[in-house]
Amino acid sequence: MTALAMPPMGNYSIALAASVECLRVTPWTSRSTTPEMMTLGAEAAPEFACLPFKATLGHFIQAAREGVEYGVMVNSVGTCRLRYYRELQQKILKERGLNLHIFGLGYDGIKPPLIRHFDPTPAAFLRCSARAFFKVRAVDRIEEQAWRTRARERHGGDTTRVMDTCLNDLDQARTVGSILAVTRSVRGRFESVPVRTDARPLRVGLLGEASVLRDKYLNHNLEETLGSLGVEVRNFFLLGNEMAKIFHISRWSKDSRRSLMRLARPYLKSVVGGHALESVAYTMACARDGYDGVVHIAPTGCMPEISVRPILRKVSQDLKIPVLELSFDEHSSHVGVVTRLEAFVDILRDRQRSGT
Amino acid sequence: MAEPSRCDVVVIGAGLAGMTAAALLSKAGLSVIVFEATARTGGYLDFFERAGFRFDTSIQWLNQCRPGGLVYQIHQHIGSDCPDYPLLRQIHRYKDAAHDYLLTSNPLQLRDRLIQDFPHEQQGLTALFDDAEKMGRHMLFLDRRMRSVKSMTLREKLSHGLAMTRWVWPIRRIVATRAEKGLARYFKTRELLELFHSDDTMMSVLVPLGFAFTGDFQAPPKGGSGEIIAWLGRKITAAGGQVLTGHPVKEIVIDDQGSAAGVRLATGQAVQSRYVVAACDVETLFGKMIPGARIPARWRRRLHEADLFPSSFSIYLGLDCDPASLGLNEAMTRLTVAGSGVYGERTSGDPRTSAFTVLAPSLRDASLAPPGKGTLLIQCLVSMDYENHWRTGPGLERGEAYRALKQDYANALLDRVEQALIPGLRQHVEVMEVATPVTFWRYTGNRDGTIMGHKPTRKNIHAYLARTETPVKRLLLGGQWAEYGGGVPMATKAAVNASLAILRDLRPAAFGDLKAVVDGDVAVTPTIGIPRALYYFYYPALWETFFRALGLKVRVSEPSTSRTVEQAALISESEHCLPLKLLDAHLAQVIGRVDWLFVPRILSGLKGHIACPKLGALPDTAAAQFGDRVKVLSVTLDEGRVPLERSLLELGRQLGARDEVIQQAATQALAAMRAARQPPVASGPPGRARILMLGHPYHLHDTFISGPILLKLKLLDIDVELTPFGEGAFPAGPLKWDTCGKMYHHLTTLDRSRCAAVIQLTSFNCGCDSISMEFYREVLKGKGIPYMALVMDEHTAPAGLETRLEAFVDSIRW
Repeated sequence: MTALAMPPMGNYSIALAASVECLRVTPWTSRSTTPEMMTLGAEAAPEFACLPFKATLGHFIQAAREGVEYGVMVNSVGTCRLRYYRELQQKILKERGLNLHIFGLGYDGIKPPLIRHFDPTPAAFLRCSARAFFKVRAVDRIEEQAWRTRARERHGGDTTRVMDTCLNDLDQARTVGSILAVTRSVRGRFESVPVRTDARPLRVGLLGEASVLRDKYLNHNLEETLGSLGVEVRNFFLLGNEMAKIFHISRWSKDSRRSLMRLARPYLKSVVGGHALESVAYTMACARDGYDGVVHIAPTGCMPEISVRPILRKVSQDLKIPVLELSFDEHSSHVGVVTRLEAFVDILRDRQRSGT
Repeated sequence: MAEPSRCDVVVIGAGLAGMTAAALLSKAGLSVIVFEATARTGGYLDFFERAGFRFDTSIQWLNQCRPGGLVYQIHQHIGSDCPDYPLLRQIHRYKDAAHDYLLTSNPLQLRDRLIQDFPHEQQGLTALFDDAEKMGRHMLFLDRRMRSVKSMTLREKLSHGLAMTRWVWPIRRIVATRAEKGLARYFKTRELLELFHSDDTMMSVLVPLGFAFTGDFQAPPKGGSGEIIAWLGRKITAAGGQVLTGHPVKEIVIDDQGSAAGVRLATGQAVQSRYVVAACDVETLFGKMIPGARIPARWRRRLHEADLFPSSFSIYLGLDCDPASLGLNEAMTRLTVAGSGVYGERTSGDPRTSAFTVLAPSLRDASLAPPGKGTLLIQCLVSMDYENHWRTGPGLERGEAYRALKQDYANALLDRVEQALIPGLRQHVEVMEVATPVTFWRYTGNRDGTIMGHKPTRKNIHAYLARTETPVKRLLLGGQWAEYGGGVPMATKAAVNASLAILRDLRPAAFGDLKAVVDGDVAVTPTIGIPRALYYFYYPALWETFFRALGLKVRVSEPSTSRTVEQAALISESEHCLPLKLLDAHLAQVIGRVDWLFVPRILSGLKGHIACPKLGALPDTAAAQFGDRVKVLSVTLDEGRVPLERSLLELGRQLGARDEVIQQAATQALAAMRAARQPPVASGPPGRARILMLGHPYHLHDTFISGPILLKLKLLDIDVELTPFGEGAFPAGPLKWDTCGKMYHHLTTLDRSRCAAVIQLTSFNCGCDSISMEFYREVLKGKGIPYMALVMDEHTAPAGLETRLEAFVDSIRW
């Protein structure tokens, strides 16, 4: 069977892999970028390209070396650089004599090139879409539980272990029924983790650029680091919401573009691109909902995210919510990131204690 | 001093309206005399001094006095040395036993506080503040519609009628709704209803919030509101007019044709004039100064029965300490008793239940009190008929009973202040003065001491009470009685409309000037600051020409130097690209010297293309960084969908100019831009090959970024061509960013024999270029043209650049 390389999208990779089974291909993917991929990508990419570009390029290069013929990546029509990434990566692969064709997923009519090429039967397509949908929901459920539990766990690492077994089971589940069974079992499994009942976790929102938010390697395992410091995080990039936005089915929900625009209006009156609007809107929502802080993360030089940072600073000042800004590139040091997070959490603890 | 017995216009009353009218008329060259019955000018806008403290009698905050507002425009028209009104940030504090909220110039903070405290009413609160914001924007429109219909031509009347209908239509429900009914649409919680329920109609609930959204709250000028009157007085005298205090007018002289021909003073002396402007109490005018038969009885009855604003009970305190140390801020604190939600109880005038306000004027203006001390003003709205006219006699003469009531009333208010806001206030009081409605009546002569005249109620509007003209020809109403409501903007409006009516007859040229000011065709002064960075280079000459053609002053920041760059590094986001950093530094450079910063939002600069995403948030980031120091003027440029001309029209409308004027300015500006975009005539012999400098306009034309490189190439005797702007359509390439697309297209048309090499000028962290450069490189590789990229940032050393340029030039020469 042919293989299809899919860049990592955090734990959602499980769902994404399920979605392409109907194409009769083997998904070639992982839950996070590996150091080798990063090295390969950084070496082949233009110097000033952003971190996700280098990571995905590295992923494709490694896939091509292992004989994978096809790849797929988002080909957004937005304003950010992402729009050109597929084309540019294809060009770089070709220059290096690597034979991997990348399909773009964007607004390419009803049948995107990927579907046209593999031409799945409608029944198979629907079946896989349903599986993918339920897997996305299951991943969200698992993560929510993990965020809650990790901040309270008695022994470090318990939550991550439970989470891994859940994810592995989910990966193995082949039918909607078994996916739902895993989903139902999630809560019980996490409840078995011994927790400190007296814990008063801080609540911190994670915002920013999607792939850095979701890729554990790229963000230096931010969620777990914060979790082990006793912080209950909430990652605001949720694939379900994203899909709803793309297909315009969430017009009335509080996560729709419309409501976010409305929320962010006093500070930002344009969508900007990428998830810049979301960053501003959710920072305001976090302040309103009583979060203790926000971590805004972006790849170094990310066009949309960096351009709203002055606004985030103003929001932080006006609404009195601490915002930590982190930028990542392939040279970011893990220890440096952890130190900054620890300092940030210390500040939040002080604020929590003094009750301001 | 002997009064002249003849002049062009007599003005009765030296309040704000009378003085404004006199200043406008004497500026137009008419001889004007103002007669004031009392010994002081100012009317309501008066002040008094006690032991080094200075108290404004009534004005606490103002609207429409900022650049663009009616009062500001009129004052600027009278003279550019007019008083300056500081903008208020902290506006209103709502306080009762359980709650303490602050309305600032960012009303959303209040909204979010309220949502925090009343989470279940989130939806209603959001909707209320949204509506208030809409209302605020809606009110801005009225700034330009202040002229009375009387001074309009038929065509103007028609378009005014249409515009007003269009204005009223969206808010028709709000205007007509009573507050309790309107508020119930938003929420049910009793406490919230009480909080906002300060007035009788929904309109008066939303308008103050709306003004907070548009930032239209100002404090009186430095030195107190008396400064406004003093300044107007100086202007009148300088223009040859006279202000005579202690000269009560006894009657209006009416000639055989039934028009006013002058006034007769109480001394018996007559002064002839062509017009009389009555900026005094309207009942006194009609009842005592004009023979009764002249005024229809029906009109007099309606005037007598009209709904009036209440008067006020004011306590002026001089404190021995700074009010800030007592926990006050510049906001006006409104104290209410929880549970007194019924409108009647709150406004009954009973000192134990009424809502009233506490304000520390010296916190806004330290010159009002001796150093280390402060002033405090406690004000409760109450009407003249409280307690049988304040227990005065039949002729309002004041006796023991009156003084006792006054003392009791003051004590009741002070008790409440001590209880709810400032414990132990009485220990700090050095000076205390109290004014009752009777006091206000005695000093201003206005009926019942009312502070703002007719209320804009349905009854009054149907009775058509607000009007400039009277049954007597050439006698015009020029004070607050010619309008519904009062205050500085309304008094100014009344004065302007009376002046317009007179000027139209006597000085048509001056009439045109004043009309243009009121209509906003001449934006009198605002200076627009334009940063010489980013879009300035993409739209060369456009903005200056446009704003200047609209009659505005323009200040463009100085070209970038290494000092600009140093500042940029200090104040700007460190991950921005160099042009964005330079933008911040250029903005900072003009702040303090301009009224507006011009920062457009750029979504697209070319049909079929989009702009760099960073340019989509420019006005928002500028507002976030500098918004508390200066206003940001913005317009969305989306040339992909909207022609530039239309965007300019929208921009002009924001500044309040007329469409025809904007159209002309836009045409002029676009022509100037097209001329400036023409490439300079190529240097050097025509046959010689040149080097093409490739880059965004904001890289190529910025003196700091490209200056040293162009200079070096010139020294190396190389002919250089800058990437042209390239007007007109071209086939779409792979790049959708506007300037990148242009560059790509230009490269595809390059001819190897004419172009020896391409030097790309880019900046560190330029997102577009990081991608586009790969595409350029491919094209140039195909054509065999050498290509070099120079990446600039704030640390780039000139020596390094020179070496690289020399090496590159050598490599293509040999």
